Amino acid sequence: MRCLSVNEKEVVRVFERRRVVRRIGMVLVLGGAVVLASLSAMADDPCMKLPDLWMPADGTQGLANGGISVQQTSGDVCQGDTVTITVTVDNLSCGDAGPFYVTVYYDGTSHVIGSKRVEGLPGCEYTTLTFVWDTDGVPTGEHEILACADTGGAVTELNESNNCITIDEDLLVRPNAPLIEAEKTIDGEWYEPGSTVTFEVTIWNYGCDDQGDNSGHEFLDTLPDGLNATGYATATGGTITVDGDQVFWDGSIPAGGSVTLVFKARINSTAEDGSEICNQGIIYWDSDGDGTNDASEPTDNPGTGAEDDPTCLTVDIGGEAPPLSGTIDAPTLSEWGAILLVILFVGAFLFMIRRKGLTAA
Amino acid sequence: MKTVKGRPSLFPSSLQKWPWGSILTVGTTVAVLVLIVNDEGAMQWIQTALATITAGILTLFGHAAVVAGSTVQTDVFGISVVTACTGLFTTGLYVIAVLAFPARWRARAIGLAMGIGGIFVLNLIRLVSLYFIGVHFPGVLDLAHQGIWQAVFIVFAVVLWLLWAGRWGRARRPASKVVS
Repeated sequence: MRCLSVNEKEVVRVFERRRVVRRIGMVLVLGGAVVLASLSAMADDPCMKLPDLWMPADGTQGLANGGISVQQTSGDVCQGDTVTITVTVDNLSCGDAGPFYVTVYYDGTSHVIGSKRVEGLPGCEYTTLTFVWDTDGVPTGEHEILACADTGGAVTELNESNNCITIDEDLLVRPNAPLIEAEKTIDGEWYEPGSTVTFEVTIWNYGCDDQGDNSGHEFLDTLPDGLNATGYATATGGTITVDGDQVFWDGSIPAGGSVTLVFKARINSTAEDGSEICNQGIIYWDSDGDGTNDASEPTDNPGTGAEDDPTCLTVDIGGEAPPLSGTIDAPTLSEWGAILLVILFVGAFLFMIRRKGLTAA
Repeated sequence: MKTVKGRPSLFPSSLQKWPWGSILTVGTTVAVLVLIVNDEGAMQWIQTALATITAGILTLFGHAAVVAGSTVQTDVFGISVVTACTGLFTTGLYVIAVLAFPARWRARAIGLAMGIGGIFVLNLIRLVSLYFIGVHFPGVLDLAHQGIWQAVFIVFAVVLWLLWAGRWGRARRPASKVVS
């Protein structure tokens, strides 16, 4: 075996060093590439995200397995009855959610209807929960129903601001006594002195007890100055009477039922142009179910946003009828048609004159 | 002796003989028509009458129509009977033509009754048909209104007058023979 000289050994060492450096470089490059690829893969994987609980609007399609969300109540009830409330919670993200609570409220978060624990909701899945609400002791009237997911804040989510939903329709808890509301409308918007107007009053009993035909009138409308009753009055139930300028009604309205009154009045022939004539009827009803009318309520004009406001008309002398959709003017001839007609008549006239003259000759 | 031949006149001698009476008649008729058209009360009465009768016919056909002013209206469509809808211009022209044409007064009365009545009835048919076209075929309403009905109106008035003039118009009297 031949021994290497000092110079030859130095050359070999240099080569060895370079080879080691090259290998280390390759390892570093490969390792870096692997790390980068892994990080990239992690970034693209949606299942690495956090969960996102939300309450999709009622009827939202496209939930997992073709599901459709439900955010509903079973509907209006009499006080003391139970209401079924169904809510859907969806996990919008693909990150799994751990255990959390779903809570349902009425009229804000200070009135809890009920709370349920969900043991977890995998990514992209949804769950539907049912709450039964006993309305015993709940105030009568309309209530707004609110449902929220993760009320304890146990789940860290991508979006924490979409966890609640207000159910579209308010829930009416009806009293176990009559609850009366009434509207009064007037036909048209064009009123001349001497013309007849028609009023329609609809009275509803939203309560869970019948409104009886108690002593005294259930409805009374005193026509104001400028209007005179014509005597025409009809009702879908009970008895309507016109006495002078007073129209009154006596009768009963079953729970959940309604009655419609129609009566006519004539605008005074001396009414001034532009004057406004307003009035309201008054309903008298039994608010505690003891057989005596102890409450009263004015009629509402549904044509305005205001509550319990009077129904009005404005006298319009010589005014044009409001334009109707689909109304046309129907002149017989246009200008050119008229010119053509004149020419034809003149021509026909001359023709007949000549013809008669020739015939005679 | 030089004989001067007169040029043949465009109008027969009968026309040359009666223009003063005709001019007076036409002038009076035009004046009356202008008075009627400018009398708001008279026009309102005519329009309301036409609208009321149209509404009655529509009601007979099962479309509960009411009259607001001079507008016939139902829940779905309405026709506003303005002055030009009354057919007054067509009727006026027809009346002038009848009165200006040489005829006996009895024949003129027949002509006026035929024309005024006929144009009035035709206008009612027009209004009712326009209502139904507006309700059921709104796409052809303009064509029917501005095209077809206008042409029908013009042709009807002229043809009616021609028929009357041909049947009741007075021919020129033949020149009386001089027997020497």
